Amino acid sequence: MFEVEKGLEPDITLVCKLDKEGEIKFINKDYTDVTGFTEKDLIGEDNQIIQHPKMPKIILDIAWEAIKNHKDIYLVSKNITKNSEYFWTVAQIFSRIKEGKPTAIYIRRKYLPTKVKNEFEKLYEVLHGIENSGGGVDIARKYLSGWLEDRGVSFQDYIINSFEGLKNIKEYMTTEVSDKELFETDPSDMDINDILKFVKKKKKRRFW
Amino acid sequence: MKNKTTELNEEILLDPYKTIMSKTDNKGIIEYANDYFMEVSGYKEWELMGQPHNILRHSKMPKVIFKLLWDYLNVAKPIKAIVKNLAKDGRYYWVVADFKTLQDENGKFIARYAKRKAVPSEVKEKVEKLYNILLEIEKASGMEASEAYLKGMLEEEHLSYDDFILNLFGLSEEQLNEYMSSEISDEMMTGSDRIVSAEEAIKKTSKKGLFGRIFN
Repeated sequence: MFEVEKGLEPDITLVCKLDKEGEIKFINKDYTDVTGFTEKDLIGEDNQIIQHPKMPKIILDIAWEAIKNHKDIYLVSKNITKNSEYFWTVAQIFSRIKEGKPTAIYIRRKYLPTKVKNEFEKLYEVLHGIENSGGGVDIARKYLSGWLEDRGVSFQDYIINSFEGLKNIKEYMTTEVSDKELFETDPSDMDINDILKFVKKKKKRRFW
Repeated sequence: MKNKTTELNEEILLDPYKTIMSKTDNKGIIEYANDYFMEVSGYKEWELMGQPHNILRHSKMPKVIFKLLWDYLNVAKPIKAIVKNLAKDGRYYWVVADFKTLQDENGKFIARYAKRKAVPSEVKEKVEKLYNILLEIEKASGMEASEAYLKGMLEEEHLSYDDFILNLFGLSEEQLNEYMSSEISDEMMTGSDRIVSAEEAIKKTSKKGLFGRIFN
């Protein structure tokens, strides 16, 4: 299960809208194209449907804590397709707030450059291992906090920095790559800099 | 808890430019350990996190050294100690460990950090001799006797424990700290440039600031 990696094009953006419980309310075409799930499979289902079973629980907790605190957050997530392939993405999570409570959650996912993926692959494996060896999520949280202290950054900054800054990650998440022909090579060979170089600010993809 | 590891008479030599780092709670339960810790000890993160650090305790370590260590740690005093550790596969490795306890303004415990580095062979020999004596005493008359012996030895040499450690290395506090904080990544140092003995690494780093990096 989940042994084949599905390659993602850098210009693809998976978008979904969830209600405050995490139930899927809307998905875009890239989402169904990549995951192989149809609208029928997805609408009304829990967002967990595309979560890889080895996603550390602590990372999901961090996402929910951010949502509850009305903070936008970047995360790295490992996902699955209907065909039991896996794919890594960088995800941006936003929530809409009404009277101090989130009413809707938006997740935008994009191709994760290999360099960043390698770092997170190791970290997630360790976190998942700790959580499932009797340590539980509390020990994983402590490990993650020590891991970040060792590197002298916050979790958010670690992700942002791996894209060489907030401006870059924002640009990467919100713009469209038009020169599709430039990406005929396997995207996994590309460095984040190569991708950013080709990212053109054509139009803002505001989808809500 | 794990089964008792069979101790082997085989040493793991440490890279003097790498640091074994860990973070523990006030009871010595491991919360975080870095990659080099895993590499040397042979454990996986999920086998160590949430476990007491004494999982690595070697039978050839006198109890009195750990008592001394805890006497310092319990009052949040920084301390260095030379320790023989037991890897998962039964081999051993010597480290000079530097412990630091972090407290908030009210003296409430926040975290404890330890970094550990390679020990020059000359220092290892001296320490091993002392530890063997302490072990013999402990075996015959218990830890109070070994503590009295250690105290007596320090008194006779007019040394505090901290100075005793510095004397073993023949370094000033600043120089030893410089060595404890030195770290060179694999990318920065490759092939023939790589210095492999702790002695040489100390010689280089005690020239102040050459490879120095501030801990924390």
